Amino acid sequence: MSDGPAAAYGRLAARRAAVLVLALAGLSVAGLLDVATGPAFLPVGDVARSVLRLSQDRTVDAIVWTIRLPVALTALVVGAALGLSGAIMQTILNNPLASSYTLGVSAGAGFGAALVIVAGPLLPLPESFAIPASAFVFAAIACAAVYLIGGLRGATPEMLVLAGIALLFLFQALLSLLQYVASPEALQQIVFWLFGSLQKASWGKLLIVALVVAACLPVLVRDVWPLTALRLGDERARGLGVDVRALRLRSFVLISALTGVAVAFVGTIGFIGLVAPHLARILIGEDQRGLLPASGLFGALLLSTASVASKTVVPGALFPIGIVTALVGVPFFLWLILGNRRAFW
Amino acid sequence: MKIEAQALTVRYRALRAVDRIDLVAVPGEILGVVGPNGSGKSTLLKAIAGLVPVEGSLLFDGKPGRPRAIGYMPQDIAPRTALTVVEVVLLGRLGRLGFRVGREDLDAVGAVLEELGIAVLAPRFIGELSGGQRQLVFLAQALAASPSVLLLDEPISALDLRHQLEVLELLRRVTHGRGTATIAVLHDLNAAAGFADMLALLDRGCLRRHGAPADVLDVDALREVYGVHAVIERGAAGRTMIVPIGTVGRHQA
Ligand SMILES: Nc1ncnc2c1ncn2[C@@H]1O[C@H](COP(=O)(O)OP(=O)(O)OP(=O)(O)O)[C@@H](O)[C@H]1O
Ligand SMILES: [Mg+2]
Repeated sequence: MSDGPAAAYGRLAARRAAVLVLALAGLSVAGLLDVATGPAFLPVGDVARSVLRLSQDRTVDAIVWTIRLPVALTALVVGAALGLSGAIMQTILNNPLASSYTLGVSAGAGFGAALVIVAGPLLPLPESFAIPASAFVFAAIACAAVYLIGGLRGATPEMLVLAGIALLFLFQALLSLLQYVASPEALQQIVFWLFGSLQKASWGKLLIVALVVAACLPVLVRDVWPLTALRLGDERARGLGVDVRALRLRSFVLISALTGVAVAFVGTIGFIGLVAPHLARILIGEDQRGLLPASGLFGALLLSTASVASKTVVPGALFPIGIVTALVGVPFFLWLILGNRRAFW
Repeated sequence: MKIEAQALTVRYRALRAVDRIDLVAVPGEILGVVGPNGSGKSTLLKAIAGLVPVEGSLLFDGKPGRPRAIGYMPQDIAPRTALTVVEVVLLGRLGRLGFRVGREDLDAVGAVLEELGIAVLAPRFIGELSGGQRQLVFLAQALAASPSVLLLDEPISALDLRHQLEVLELLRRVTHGRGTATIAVLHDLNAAAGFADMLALLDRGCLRRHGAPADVLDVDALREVYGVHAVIERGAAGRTMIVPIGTVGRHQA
């Protein structure tokens, strides 16, 4: 009987699907380019054949499969984890500035990594294991602290954001302290870790990140509607039957896992978690069935693109990926938010 | 679904915003809640909706468990999010939405939007509507799941004359037709007298009167509770007309 609203909804859904498909296509291209670029540029056709296991060329296969593919896939998966966690954070905190970077979670991870680097020689564990483990644990500690401190006043979005900002300053101060007492070698290692780098990627680490992301997805799928309702405000969501407290707690656990595992292996790559959700929101809206996957896909696309850029801006040199994402991300982000005048926040 | 409140109390720190209220709302009837600003009308609705902690007893069809199907419409809400009207109304069916939105859900949403005359707003962003349009959207959201309990906090306060009548008539149709228990906070006493089956008059958290509109709204009640001197006329078409003349005494919100 009512073709109007149903048709309007159909157009929304079609647009959402189109954006998701385009993002998927875009990140496939970016991923292939990422594999193709490096000290020796490989023709994209060769790369594609090798990735699809159709290549006869042993050298290309060796470069692609042992060196470049793990890096390129790590960029995609880590980017997705960052984009996803940023989107969840902005949704549950009802704040466009929320991301693991702006609310102290990344800073916590950085502190955890620095702690191991400084105290490294004293630890019985190999650094290659201890640094990511410590970064992950401190990201979780930061997340838990935000939730617990914010929770003292009812875990409202405002309190949680304030708690996150307090923690950001705390961990930055602690990090500065560590840098101050660190030996020159340790200091250099800390700074390098903070820049972020994909070069330490391996199939094993990639598997861990991918498993954590995959484990989060079923929970998110179950929560898409409650999260969407939360965008109308806490009280309206509760009126619609959402257990807001439990939803927020569950989401914090997801954020902690996603951010923790992402930064643990590649260092603090800022911006992605902030930008990807904004891009997704502008193109798709707030239905979290579209926003969350799109944020993940855009995060993957952005980090992969940044990875290509980090290898190509200065030929022969490798720029730290964290610096590239920020340098490319800032103007893009400003263009994004200044160009969009809809009443979203 | 029958709603029975006994000694229902809501405290905001020292203040008893709802103070030992006994109230019954029965299926198929509109219970209008009236009273001055700050008298506890919104709080009463939130208490029934389960949005604030309460003391006392609250029974739904004789049982303490709150049904899932409560349609609640808050008094003022102006979210700024990238959600369109059709998506917002769809959220009214939160409990039954699957990951994929079904035909049935879209049909229900379409029907409510048509009934309220806002089908053309469907693709618009909720943050870009006028106050009255927003009010209609959240009314549509409350109605979208065909709930057996409707709690509406000032559903017509921002609406034009025509929409006020349309909404009130729709509420009567829904309430009487589906046997919904409807509780609506109304500031417009003439509308309350004309459309509600029963009225509850609140004053500083307490229930001052409860009964048929003509018994609740009389000259004494208006003077004592509102501090207003008014005359009540039985006007055309048998409708009660409350005409305010002036204020009496000192009055505070
Ligand atoms: N969250 C709150 N914290 C503290 N006091 C509150 C809170 N909400 C409402 N109150 C107080 O409780 C009393 C009842 O408020 P309520 O919103 O129920 O009034 P109302 O009858 O709906 O008024 P109005 O006609 O203005 O909407 C008021 O005195 C108000 O100041
Ligand atoms: Mg009120």
